[in-house]
Amino acid sequence: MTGPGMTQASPTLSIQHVSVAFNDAAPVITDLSLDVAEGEFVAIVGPSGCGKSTLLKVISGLVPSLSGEIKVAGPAAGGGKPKIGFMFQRDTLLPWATATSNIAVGCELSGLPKEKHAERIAELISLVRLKGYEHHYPSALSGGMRQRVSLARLLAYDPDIFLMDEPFGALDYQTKILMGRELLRIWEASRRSIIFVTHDIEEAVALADRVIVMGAQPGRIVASHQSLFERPRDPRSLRGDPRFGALVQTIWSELAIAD
Amino acid sequence: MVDNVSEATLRPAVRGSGDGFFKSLFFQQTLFLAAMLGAWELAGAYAFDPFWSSRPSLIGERIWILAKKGDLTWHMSATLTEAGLGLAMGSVIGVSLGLLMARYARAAAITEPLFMGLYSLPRVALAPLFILWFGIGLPAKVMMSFSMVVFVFVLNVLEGVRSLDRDPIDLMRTMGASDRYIVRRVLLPAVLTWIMASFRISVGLALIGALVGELIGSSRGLGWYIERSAGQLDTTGVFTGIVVLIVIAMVANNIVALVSNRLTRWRA
Repeated sequence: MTGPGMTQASPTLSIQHVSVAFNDAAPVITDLSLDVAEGEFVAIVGPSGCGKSTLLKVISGLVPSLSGEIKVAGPAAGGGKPKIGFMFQRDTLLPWATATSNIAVGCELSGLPKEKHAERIAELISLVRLKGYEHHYPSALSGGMRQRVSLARLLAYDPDIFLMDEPFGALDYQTKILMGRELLRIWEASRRSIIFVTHDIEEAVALADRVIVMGAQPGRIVASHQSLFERPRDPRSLRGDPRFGALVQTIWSELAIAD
Repeated sequence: MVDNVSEATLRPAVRGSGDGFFKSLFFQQTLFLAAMLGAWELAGAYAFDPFWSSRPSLIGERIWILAKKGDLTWHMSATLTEAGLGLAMGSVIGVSLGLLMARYARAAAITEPLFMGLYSLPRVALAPLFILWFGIGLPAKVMMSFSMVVFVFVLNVLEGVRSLDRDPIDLMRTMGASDRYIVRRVLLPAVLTWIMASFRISVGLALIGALVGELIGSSRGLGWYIERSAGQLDTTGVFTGIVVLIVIAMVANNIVALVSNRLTRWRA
């Protein structure tokens, strides 16, 4: 389950036989196992209710698992707890804090020395192309810009693994495509592991190294597809590729069966 | 990038100003007030006996006299001190109680019916008791003011904590944030807007508390001045007290609104 060019070294994330249930109800996830290699971009698609968002919450520790084991490798340099970065569909910015101050949350929780915060925030502002909006409050920013601030906050935290729960799901189609391209541009520069949950099959195929298809009731993995496309790539031009359409069709049929 | 930049930059600047001075809201408000005062003045001169309704000119003259003698500051300072101390005590104790009740849900559930009961009680009913306990000096009025405002702060702060957005807190938890960090970064700023809303409501209530205390038993203050003037059938005195109170309430409300707007600029 390793991508081309990936090392066989210990994975950044290892999920072994994890099951999740809430209050004696039917299990949300049963016996799910998944490894994510260092620097790998994994997308998870599935129908609503298949437990894909719950899986991210379990990995982050927000929701306890019933059984099984989850291991997140710490920073390569050794020592220190692994840092998990989460990004929700909602921007979850602090409404009373400016873009700069929201991004600072990431710096403050990352353990970066205080005197380096300003410089790091300035870097991130230009990386996510928010120059000129440093002192705007979230209420004065568009949905896409708010997610850029969220992304910058996440990057400021410098996590070992990114958990992204439909981060662009609330954006309009155009902005969503643009944000996907931005994410790849930023990710290709730093190459951290990402688990990207989405219900948009095209988005998953366009962005990821590997697409995991989940089925519902109970939540489980039904298929896994290695990406056919080279990096760096432009998700926009991929959409014209016949192999792209074929893979999307395959996943569609798998989702239909899983249903 | 074509990422809806326009949405942020094209927000129209909302300003109240019209095309000219005569169309400005301020001018029209002043004009209206002047017209009302003029009508009152004329009615007092030609229609009614000013014994009942007094006249703006008489009230203005009285304020001038009281100000020159120092009586105005003497009475105003008493009422302001009572209301101010009551408001200060009420906000500090109310906010603390609200935060404690939010922190200890069980204790809050146990005490809430009593709090709601006290909140529903017309606090005027407590005035005789406070006079009995604290005499007719400052403490009784401060307590009266305090009892008017404290529940506003308790219930608002409690509601503020309860309506906190969980998502940013969850997010910070996954990033290893401590309780202290979340209190400083999320809880306090969120509750601050509720505290400011409480102040906006409480300024008037604190004045009511002080006034009620003074009307029932006192030796100075604007309430006392109004009560004594009424006892001497001095309508101009009564109206003078009322006008001064209106001015105080308006100034206080504006100060709170100014501070509140500054602190919640992010609401845009």
